[in-house]
Amino acid sequence: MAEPSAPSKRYKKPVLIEIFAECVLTPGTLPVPRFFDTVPRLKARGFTDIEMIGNVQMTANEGPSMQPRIRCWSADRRQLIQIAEDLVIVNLIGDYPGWRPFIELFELGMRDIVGAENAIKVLNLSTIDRFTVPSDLYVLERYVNCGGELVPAWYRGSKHPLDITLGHGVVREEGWNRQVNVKVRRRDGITIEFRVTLQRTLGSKGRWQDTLHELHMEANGIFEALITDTTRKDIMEGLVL
Amino acid sequence: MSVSSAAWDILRPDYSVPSYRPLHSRGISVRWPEDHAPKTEQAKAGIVGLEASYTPQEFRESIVTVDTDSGESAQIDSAFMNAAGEIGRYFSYEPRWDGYFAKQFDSNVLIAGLRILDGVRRYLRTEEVVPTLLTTCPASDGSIDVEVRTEHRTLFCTIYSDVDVEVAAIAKSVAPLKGKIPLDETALVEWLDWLVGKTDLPKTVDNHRLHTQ
Repeated sequence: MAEPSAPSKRYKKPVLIEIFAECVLTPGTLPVPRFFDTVPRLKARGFTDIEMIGNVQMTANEGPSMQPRIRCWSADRRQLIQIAEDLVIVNLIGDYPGWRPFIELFELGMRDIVGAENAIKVLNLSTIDRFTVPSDLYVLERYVNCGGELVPAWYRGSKHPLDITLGHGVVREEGWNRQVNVKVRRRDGITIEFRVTLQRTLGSKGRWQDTLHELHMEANGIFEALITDTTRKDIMEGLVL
Repeated sequence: MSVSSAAWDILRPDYSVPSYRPLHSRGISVRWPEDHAPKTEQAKAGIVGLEASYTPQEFRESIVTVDTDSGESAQIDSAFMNAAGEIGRYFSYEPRWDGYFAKQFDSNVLIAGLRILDGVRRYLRTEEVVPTLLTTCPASDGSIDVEVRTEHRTLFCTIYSDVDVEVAAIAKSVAPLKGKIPLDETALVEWLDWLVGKTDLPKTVDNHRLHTQ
């Protein structure tokens, strides 16, 4: 099945509230003792709010074990770099400033801080879009494209909280995985949320820039396939011309 | 998937499941002082362990994985850790800690506060709502307040030794409402549902509007 893909569109009022990329590194690239060395570099780059947490890692054979994780926040808490053993996650939170700032954050984390941009084994891009509509106007198909490429027509007429979770592909076997979660909640109005997670393995010659760009295009395509013209016009106030 | 069920057992050991748990949410658990070491030693140290970000390889390679670590989840964790750290400090408060006649905190009160905080954290992660404020306040009578705010609403939980938790719900332009709940996540969830705007206040509220004196 071809995944919807679309070039970037700039809306006047985007509903993207977070975008983040998770990089699973080749084993041994970023062992625990080494990732603590990144903290001074992160602080020097403005990531001054450092938290350390335990991360439960589960393996089928060995059971659970505790793995440390560092969360490094920028002073305004809009940027987050998370580092664990052979794992780096970069998060851009809040009003979306555009793709370029996200790439700059990614490069900062992977190249300047960790120095592991050539050791990415699996790259994962996640987006969270969320908006709230008045309860009295709400019916799902007004804002979510029911019967289109992704959400079945069966959901037409829904005025209730719901979760639609779609998953496609196994990373280990196909080299990719796509997930879409549509969530509707009743919260001082109706909150509609889309979470899209796209994963892909990088071959030995794969460039992360190309892969991340492709995942971005796929994410855009999925978002466009999920929304309706009412969402485009009434919620996002149309395109920036 | 056997690994996943084992994981839920490990990560969600002692609480009921709030409504609308997303299919992909991950758990974090607090290792309570009483679970791991003599209460007094842990209490003195104010130890709160946070286990987060469960990312087994099996999930990562399944079709629908558990959620990767979003910034929102991290913000909720961060708010929780700060508030739990505050309670951790109260363990070391001596009698007359306020310079007057304040009581020393009973460890049961503080542990109850940690349990409420953890219930709040689990719930907010499940609902993916970042609190605008999550904090605690010590009182000289030996009680503590846990305060959690969202954009439009505030919930206060006041914890005394050996009695039900007093809860006060405050919304803009509406008189505060109060109630009493047992230290039980199911009861707490009803109030948290209100906090995030999912429901009206629970019917168990004693219709006792606080006077705003």
